[in-house]
Amino acid sequence: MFQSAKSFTNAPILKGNDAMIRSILIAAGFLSVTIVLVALQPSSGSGRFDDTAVTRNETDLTRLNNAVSAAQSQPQVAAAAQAAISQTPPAPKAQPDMFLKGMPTGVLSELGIDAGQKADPAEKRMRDMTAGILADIRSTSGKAQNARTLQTLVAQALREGQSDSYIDTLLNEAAAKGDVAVPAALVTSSGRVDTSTLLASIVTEARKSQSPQSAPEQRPAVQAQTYVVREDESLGGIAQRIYGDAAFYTTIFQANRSALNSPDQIRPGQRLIIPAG
Amino acid sequence: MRCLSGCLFALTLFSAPALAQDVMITPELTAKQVTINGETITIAREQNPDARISDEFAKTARACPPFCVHPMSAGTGVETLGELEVMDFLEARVANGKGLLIDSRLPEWFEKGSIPGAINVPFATVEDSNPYRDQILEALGAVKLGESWNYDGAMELALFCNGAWCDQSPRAIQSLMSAGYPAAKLKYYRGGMQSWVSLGLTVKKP
Repeated sequence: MFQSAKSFTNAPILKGNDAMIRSILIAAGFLSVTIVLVALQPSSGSGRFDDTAVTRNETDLTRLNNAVSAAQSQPQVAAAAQAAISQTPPAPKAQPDMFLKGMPTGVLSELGIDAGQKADPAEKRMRDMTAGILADIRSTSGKAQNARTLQTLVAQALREGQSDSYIDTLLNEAAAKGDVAVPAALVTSSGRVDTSTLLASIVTEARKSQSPQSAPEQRPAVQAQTYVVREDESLGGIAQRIYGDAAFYTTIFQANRSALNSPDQIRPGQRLIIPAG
Repeated sequence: MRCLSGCLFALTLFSAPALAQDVMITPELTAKQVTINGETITIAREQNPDARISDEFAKTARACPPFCVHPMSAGTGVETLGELEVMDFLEARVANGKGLLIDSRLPEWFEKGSIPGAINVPFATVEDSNPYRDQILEALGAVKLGESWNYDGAMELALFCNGAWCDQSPRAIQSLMSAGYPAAKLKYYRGGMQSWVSLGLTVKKP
């Protein structure tokens, strides 16, 4: 009927097995996805591992790459973005937004990819602890399905190998129902979630983490200019095009504070000041 | 006759451990059982009369600062809890997903043992300096609206650390309040692990 309490030192270890299985799964996932990412890097040539793990995860990566090309459809912008990928910010007027910066990393860590190789140990520890906390909150509150964040949704869909358009629909439905909070910088001029920029920034983070040493010495300087907002564009998307990193939307936002109350208030045809960077 | 009494004595002796529940939580309560997301936890008291506090919690002289004695309240409007209230909180809030019992200590301490049903949210992770803090607030049910947060749907939190000499849960409570977390949704179990262990209450290793 009732089990007597164990003493402090031999407290029952109830979840030992679960924890072990979970860590093995996480380790396996991390390994396989890392192999795929390494295999797909340009520097590693065309070599593909004849490994089931690779085949299993290939869809994810193909999709990530598609996302990048979709977001960077203009070749010259893509080249600029490419060159800017692992570059440290060139003393921008404003700091990249932490929320937008943290989310792609968060998605990657949910996918078991360590995107924090460049992060200092303290930040890495914070990220690891945060990831553990999020899992614990979800499992304890039993809200695995309800307590969904944009990050979880994206990570889950990528894990399932869903298409870009599926993810786009999924995120927009969740956002419309108010299930998830969308960073203002990822809200387009028509009020939708800018999924391609979101996916592109995940790829940017993944690339950063995979090639920490190959940071190019210089990147094409961004000229001060005026940018006309197009249909269905978000501030994050514009930052991604121009600066190569969606997190630099704050630079544009700060320069246009007189016209914008919030980053999600851009509208088609609006002229934005783009500071040199 | 001697055999009979001997047998009876032996019987009493052997059956004693199974029957003994001398150390109850209250006169009416031998143990608290709570099911949290499918897992049933049991909180009871140590029954071994020889059990003593050992290790970390036997120490009485800790340098202050940082290990200073903390006031009863961790913040205006934040309720302070005792052990029975912590158990009630598990039953009334954590079990139905409306609240969380939070161990604010560092993972190294949490690993050594914590209150059953508690999750580890180290105090530093809810500080402004954690670039990923927003994700924790979101997971707790807060919704970001531009630069500010809406906590209408946020969970109730009961926080604790090593006890009255530990500043980690009061710090976590202050950090949450400066992020706008409503004081009415925050509780402080001041006694913490020191009191919990000294009462022989069940400690669980994660």
